[in-house]
Amino acid sequence: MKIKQILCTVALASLCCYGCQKDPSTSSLRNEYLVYTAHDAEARFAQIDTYYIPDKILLIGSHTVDAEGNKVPKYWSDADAQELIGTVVAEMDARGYTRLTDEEARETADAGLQLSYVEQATYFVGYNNPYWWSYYPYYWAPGYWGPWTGWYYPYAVYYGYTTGSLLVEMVDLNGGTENGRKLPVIWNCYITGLLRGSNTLDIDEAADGLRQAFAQSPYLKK
Amino acid sequence: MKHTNFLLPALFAAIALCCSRPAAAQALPNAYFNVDWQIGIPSNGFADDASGWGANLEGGYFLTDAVTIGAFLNYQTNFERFGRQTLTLPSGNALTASQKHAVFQLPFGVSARYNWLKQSIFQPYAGLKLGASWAQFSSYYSVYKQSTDNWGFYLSPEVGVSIFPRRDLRYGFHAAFYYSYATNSGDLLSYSVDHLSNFGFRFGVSF
Repeated sequence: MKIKQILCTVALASLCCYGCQKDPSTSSLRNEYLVYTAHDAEARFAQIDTYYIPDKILLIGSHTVDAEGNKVPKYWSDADAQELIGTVVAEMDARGYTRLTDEEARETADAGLQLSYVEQATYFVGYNNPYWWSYYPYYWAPGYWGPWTGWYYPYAVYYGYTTGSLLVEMVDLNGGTENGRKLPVIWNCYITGLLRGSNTLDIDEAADGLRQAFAQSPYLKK
Repeated sequence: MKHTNFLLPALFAAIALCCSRPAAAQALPNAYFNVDWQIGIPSNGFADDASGWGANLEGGYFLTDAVTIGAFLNYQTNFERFGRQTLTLPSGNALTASQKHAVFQLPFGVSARYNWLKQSIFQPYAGLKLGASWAQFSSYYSVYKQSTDNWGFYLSPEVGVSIFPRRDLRYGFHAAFYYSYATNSGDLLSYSVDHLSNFGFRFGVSF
């Protein structure tokens, strides 16, 4: 009988142990920004002379509907958006790249930069499915940059993009569109943890995050 | 919430005591059991803050008045916070974030003790635990968690004392100091751990 009692005790104790792993409190971490940058190790960033960046930021998770019922992408272009775009421009210029501002230049520049802000949606980008935005209506389509048939990442993409995230991507416009070549995204930046108060984007933190993205990407230079 | 550190060991003790007969001189003839709250102080470079998130269960049999052999199972979670820093990842990509690291250790195996003064109130001993250890290394940043886990070999010398206020009843208290070494290793983000070593204390009940 005693042996049965002991075995019972051990079994119950083992069951208790099964769930005894403690997770830390992460609430403070959610309020601190995170900056992740990835790049194509084969890309020749030093050979880029010119770049084009739109004067607007795509809002992911928001869209309007036109008179025919079609979804139309929504962009953010007020003073706050211009501050963020200006931060990227300042960092690019400081690294020796030259911004082209003519509308036609988006097809003739060496590189293109596209900014997006995840306003409402939550998406996951995994190694096996890095192309989520091809399913998102009117995400920065490859056609924006010229007659490209599509685009791709030459590197693995792992991160879930959550509400309040800021994305910057650099596409290589130099390779030519012949033979159905896809547009490569040679650098991307993901910044999250930028929401404050009632889901308001902290512009100063976002600008700091953008500067940090360039600081941790030393290969971005002429 | 610190009081919950004691909850699990207290639960174990309650279960154990409920499963034994209160009037018995000891739960099982020539046997001993310990249920302890464990405080671990690690030194692994990954999560080194001392923590009381641990417990130890051990039972053994007296081969002689002095020598026991038995089995053990314990667990321990330790944390450490890292302020914002930039990590260059093995892929060549970079991550800037504040982090919290956690190491969870779950060793189990066989134990042996040499005991002194078995008839006294204070019964000191020296012991050794050998076994396997499962460990998980985790990093939490923003809303994300990355982890890796593996198995290793575990070795832990220990000194302690069992305290039985009544000599005719083998129900009392237990205190011990231990050191442990485990061969668990792991790489996570830009961190690399090649072994786990800890020292710590255990306080609990003995019967």
